[in-house]
Amino acid sequence: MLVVDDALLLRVLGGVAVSSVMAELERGELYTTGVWYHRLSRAAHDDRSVGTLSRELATFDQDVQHYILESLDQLPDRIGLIGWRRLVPVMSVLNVGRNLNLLAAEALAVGLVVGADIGVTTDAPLVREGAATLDLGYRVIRV
Amino acid sequence: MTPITRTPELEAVVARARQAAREAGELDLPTGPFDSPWVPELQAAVVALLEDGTYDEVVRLIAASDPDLA
Repeated sequence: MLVVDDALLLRVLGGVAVSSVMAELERGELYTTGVWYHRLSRAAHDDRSVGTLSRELATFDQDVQHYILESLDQLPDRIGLIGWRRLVPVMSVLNVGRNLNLLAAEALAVGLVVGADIGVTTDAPLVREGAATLDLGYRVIRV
Repeated sequence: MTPITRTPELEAVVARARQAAREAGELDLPTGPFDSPWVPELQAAVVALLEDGTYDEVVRLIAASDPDLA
């Protein structure tokens, strides 16, 4: 079981994640969080950042660019996403000795509920320290 | 706050959430091979923007304006 961050999620959607992550997906054991999914979607749509992404995507025609955004808007049901109706009660009682932002609280709650390690591409100190306190697995997955 | 780990209260809340997630079908994901519909050129572009720091820069901009996404 693995909970992945937004960059790993993007790699999974593109079919270019490392084999160990794709194996989790094929076993039906890959999850992400609403906040990480939201951050990925923001990165694709946000006015302040879309220019940066669009430079990379400018080599594609409008139809392909539209397809990219559309594919990000329709998260495949192969990727697990736990609803906040389940997560909020867990997030509300987490106590790891410091304040958690929404991203960290949700990631830790999903890890606890699913019984999964948390996988990130870039170290996320709040998530790492919270995972250590809660005895959750935490991996920086270099790709 | 004093750091704590798995208190009985937390374990009970997690167990209830896990049961609710199971009943909602959220723990029963499809299995099998996954074929991304993205064309190779698009896959290459995604890898490039992830590996050249472009995506990290976009996330930095977003997180700077919204600490809950940092």
